Amino acid sequence: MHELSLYGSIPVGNHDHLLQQLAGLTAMQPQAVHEIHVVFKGRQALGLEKVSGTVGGESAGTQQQQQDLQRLRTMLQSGVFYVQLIGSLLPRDNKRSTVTRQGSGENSIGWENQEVEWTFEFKDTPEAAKQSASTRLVSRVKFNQGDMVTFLDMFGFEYVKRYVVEGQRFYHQDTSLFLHRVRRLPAPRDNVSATDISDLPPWAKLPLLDASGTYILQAMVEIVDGNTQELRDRATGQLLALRDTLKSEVTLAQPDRLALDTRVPITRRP
Amino acid sequence: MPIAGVCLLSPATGGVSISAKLISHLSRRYPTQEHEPFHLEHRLFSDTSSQLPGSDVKQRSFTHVLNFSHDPQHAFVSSTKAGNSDKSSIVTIPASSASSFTGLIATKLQPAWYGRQMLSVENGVCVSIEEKGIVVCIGDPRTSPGSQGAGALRGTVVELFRREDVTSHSNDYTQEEAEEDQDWVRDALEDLFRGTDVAFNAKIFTDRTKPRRLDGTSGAEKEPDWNLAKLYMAVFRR
Repeated sequence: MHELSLYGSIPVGNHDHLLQQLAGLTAMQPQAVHEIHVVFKGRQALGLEKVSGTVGGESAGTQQQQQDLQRLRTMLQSGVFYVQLIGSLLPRDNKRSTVTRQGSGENSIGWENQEVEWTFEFKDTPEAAKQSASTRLVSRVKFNQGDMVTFLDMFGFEYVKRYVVEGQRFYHQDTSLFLHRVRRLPAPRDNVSATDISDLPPWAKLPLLDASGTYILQAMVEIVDGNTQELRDRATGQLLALRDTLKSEVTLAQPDRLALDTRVPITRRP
Repeated sequence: MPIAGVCLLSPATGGVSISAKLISHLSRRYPTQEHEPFHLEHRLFSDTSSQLPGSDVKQRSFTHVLNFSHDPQHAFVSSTKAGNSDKSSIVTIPASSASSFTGLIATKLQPAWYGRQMLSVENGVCVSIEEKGIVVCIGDPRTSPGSQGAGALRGTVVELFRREDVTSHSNDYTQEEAEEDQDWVRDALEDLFRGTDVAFNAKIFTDRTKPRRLDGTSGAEKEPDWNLAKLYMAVFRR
């Protein structure tokens, strides 16, 4: 799956007004979103030094062996990524936050007995080619049951940090509009899993990552097959049309590609 | 406690499958009741570094992605740590996501994982023998069809499920209990298939599993059968 996005930033003072505008544009009430994001870092591949040392050293093996070795070398040298485990906090009751009651969503979030649906998310670095919207490969898999943090550790990913995202989501044709901001979470205590949410401070007391309270608006279209040019063009067309519609409220643009880079920097061995 | 034992038998000489022989023998000899067809898909990855020449094979880590018809809603993903195959961690994902997740591992997680094999059992058979209180599932795991044509036959997988009996086990599944169950399963298989000249010398993996209906209907099981998934992963790990 590929994701095409444009981003804009909204000062906290304009938030309510933009909510009204988006509700009008999409003809729907916003869907409150509360997510916990747990970030994991891929471990560097071992054995790279073994591969580079064999060039010209041993007498040439068979052609097949040389090809296999070359293939392994390519595999070991390809990028290692950051991934996320995203927990969507399921609403306790069926009340959705309405446009007029801002902040009611946050106050009703209590961590005890809170049901969470976990999704493993892989996002590639956005493509480098010149395009109208930021385009990246995305893969999401729901993790139903099991000890996910231990599994990811064995799978090759170690825990880095976690944070929460709060916001509202709207849908307009094929585009999803996500108005959100980030709050920081304390590090998990020793021997407590990063996905354990039973003992977290109340949501409203979590410090904002950006103290000014600025929101981010992400306009995003997902396309199933990123190699089909027609789908890409259609998605880009929708995004650009939306950008023009919302021009007076918010400026939607492509972000700096490397700011969204999910690759782990390669550290040179001493 | 219900116990399941799984083993992988080698093909007959010439690479011919023995499953048809086993199935027809069972149907002739016992009053059997056929269940839903048995199928599974198993994808195995090993850690890329261990594929290098000169690496210690015993220190190899594995990741498995398994779908099977015993649990049609879930797929099981498990990773084992190097050198200690008993230390593993397993999670479930929706069964429909298994192939896209496998694709992600094969394309974007190459520094960590190297695809070793993909096996599938199609049109396997599960029958229950009420008088003995057991269910037997038989299938032929084949590698995926490649450029060479039809996939290669890896052998025949046989699973024997024994429903609850009166003997009780302790809460931990100890080594002694496992060995006892392995012997029981081996004897039961040899007894069932006496007269087919098939030898059950292969290693048998056993564990306690979820209860299963002997009349072929499936109950509404929400809890995945972790132990059964781990048995199949152990059988196919190489």
